[in-house]
Amino acid sequence: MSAAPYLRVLGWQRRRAAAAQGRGARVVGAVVPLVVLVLLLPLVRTAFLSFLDGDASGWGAGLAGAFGRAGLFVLTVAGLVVHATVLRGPARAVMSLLPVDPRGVVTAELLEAARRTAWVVAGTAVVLLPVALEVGWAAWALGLLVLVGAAIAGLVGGALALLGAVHVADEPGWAPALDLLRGNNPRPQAAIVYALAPSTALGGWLVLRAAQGAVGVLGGASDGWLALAAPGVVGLALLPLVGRVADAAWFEASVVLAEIRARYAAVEQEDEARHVPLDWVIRWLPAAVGRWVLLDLRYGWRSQRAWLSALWLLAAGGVLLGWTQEPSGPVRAGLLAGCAGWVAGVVALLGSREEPAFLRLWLPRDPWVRAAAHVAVVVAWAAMPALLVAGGVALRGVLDVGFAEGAARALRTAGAGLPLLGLAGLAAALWSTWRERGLAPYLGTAAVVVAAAVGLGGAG
Amino acid sequence: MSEVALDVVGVRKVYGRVVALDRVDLVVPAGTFVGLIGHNGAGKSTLLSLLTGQQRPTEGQVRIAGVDVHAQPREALARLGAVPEHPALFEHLSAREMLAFAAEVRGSEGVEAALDLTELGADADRPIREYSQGMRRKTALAMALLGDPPVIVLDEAINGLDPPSAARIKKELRRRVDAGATVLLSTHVVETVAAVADRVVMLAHGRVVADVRTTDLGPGALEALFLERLEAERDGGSAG
Repeated sequence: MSAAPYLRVLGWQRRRAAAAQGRGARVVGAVVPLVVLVLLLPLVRTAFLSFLDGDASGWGAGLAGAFGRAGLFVLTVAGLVVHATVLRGPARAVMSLLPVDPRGVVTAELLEAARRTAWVVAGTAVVLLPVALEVGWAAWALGLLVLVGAAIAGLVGGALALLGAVHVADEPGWAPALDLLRGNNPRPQAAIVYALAPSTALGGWLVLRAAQGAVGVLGGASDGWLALAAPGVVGLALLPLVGRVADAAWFEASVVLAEIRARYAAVEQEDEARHVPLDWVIRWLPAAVGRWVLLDLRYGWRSQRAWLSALWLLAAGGVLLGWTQEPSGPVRAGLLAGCAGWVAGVVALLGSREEPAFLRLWLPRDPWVRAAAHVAVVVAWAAMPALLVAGGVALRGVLDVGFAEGAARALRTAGAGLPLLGLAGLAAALWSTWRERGLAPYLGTAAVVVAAAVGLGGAG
Repeated sequence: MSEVALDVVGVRKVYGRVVALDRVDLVVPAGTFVGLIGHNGAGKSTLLSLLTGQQRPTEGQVRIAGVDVHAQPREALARLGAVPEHPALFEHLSAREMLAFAAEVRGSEGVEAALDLTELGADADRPIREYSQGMRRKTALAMALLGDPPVIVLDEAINGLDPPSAARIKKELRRRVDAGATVLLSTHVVETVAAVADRVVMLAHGRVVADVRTTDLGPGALEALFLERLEAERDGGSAG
């Protein structure tokens, strides 16, 4: 069977879900990305394209860096979209009880993921428009090729990595490696959560080479085309493998995901029936706020742990950024730690979106109390990784100079990160009042605020 | 088709320290209507999720019409029509479109007949997201019956239907069993099982505590037996 029937039902689902949202939501959905792009253009120009203000002889390295970063962004998003579409897509629950053709399903879902990723490629290309206007359209078009190659590599690499992870999830040979990574997650969850790391690393290397290739082509080096084409060509060359891996792993993935849910449930019955990390914070909160805080903490920990794991990855990145003698290190580390607050805000937004209707309809609640709970939870989730970053940055200062320098560096980190973190809590509280429609404007706000902070940090 | 429709051999299912199923053996010949009953948390839904390939046994093997569910999931699902406790459907499709998709995947026909059987005809072109729970269950039932699968597994699928619909579905299931299909119906409602099943399997705390033919029991005896076995299991008595 071809992918046609699966493509057809996925298309119907998508189009009718959009139509069911109502005209107002559709307008907001169309306008918000445009507004975000308009706001992002000057911010990206300041933060990532400031080399254009310098001498044209330095543009090559600047363009390679900008195309490379933009390509890495697209590559990462494409992998995450594959995760949300192919592995954990809503269609799986329906199709896993039918004798579907796994190749057809994965082909249709990959095309759906490609459609979603195309918007990311287009948006990223738009914020790179200053390259077209100040360097030339040829340079911009080469940058666009880097983005397209990154998208193909991210989609195909992500599908191979995630479906491959299903294979190794319960393999005894992989158990020691997974035990090192998994923390208190089940092994299959660790396999799936970290699956994108190797594919993104390999794809990232190709994308960075492609960015350099693009600059080479711009300078007249014909061998640059080889590096420029590599991510897309390698991705397309690996595409037939996706079908084979799908045959072996698509049905198995449903089993592995069900096992993960069941194992969490079993763990929760025994050890976590009442407790989740940070639930002690409610001791210091008024009871009215505390009960909503507890709801958010439980929801986030039990349903959206991947996002909370991402906070710690960001923190690790923050420590690496700040582990330097450069004066700008603490500020950059603080900005990254502040970004963790915005990731935590996504969990609060998802919590509001998925809140059962009876909570809103039949239980009395004060919207300000609910908003205060969102702020408290976002700050609580982000505070621990932020402390790790500040501690790491301070330690470097202590080792290099002494305690006074360590404290000063920690203060600079906090100064850069805390406003971002506070804003994340407020934005999450504000947009959560829009429930399911709040996620898009929240993400738009996040993009603008983070880009502005990065721009200011860079300018500072 | 294999003479044995459902073959569950030494199945154990463990989550951490929780034993959901403990050494369950169940062999169901083709052309049998089996009722699966048990208290909340007895392991019924876990057993059904193993039969439909949604979970994997910690130990043991599950075969549908001779096909290993976990080694050949697609082949096993081609022989199986299933309704889980909480059926998942494409919310923005209509019942007719949903069934047409399922029929295309199964390579079968009979969409209109399935709509007639479940009396969804008048609402067949409305989006499923507008359906009541009962209508959603009927849609899932219609999907499970498409293509005359030799094995039908239903998890609380008749509960919640209006009495005429439930009676019609039970009659259709009985007709299919008489024609050689096998039905496993999991339910809390002992009367439903007593009325339609040839054989009743009772689960308690993950173990089979009774496996009897309904013809061997008098009126009302099934419920009494269920309560007796449950009490015995609770007191640490042996499975029977």
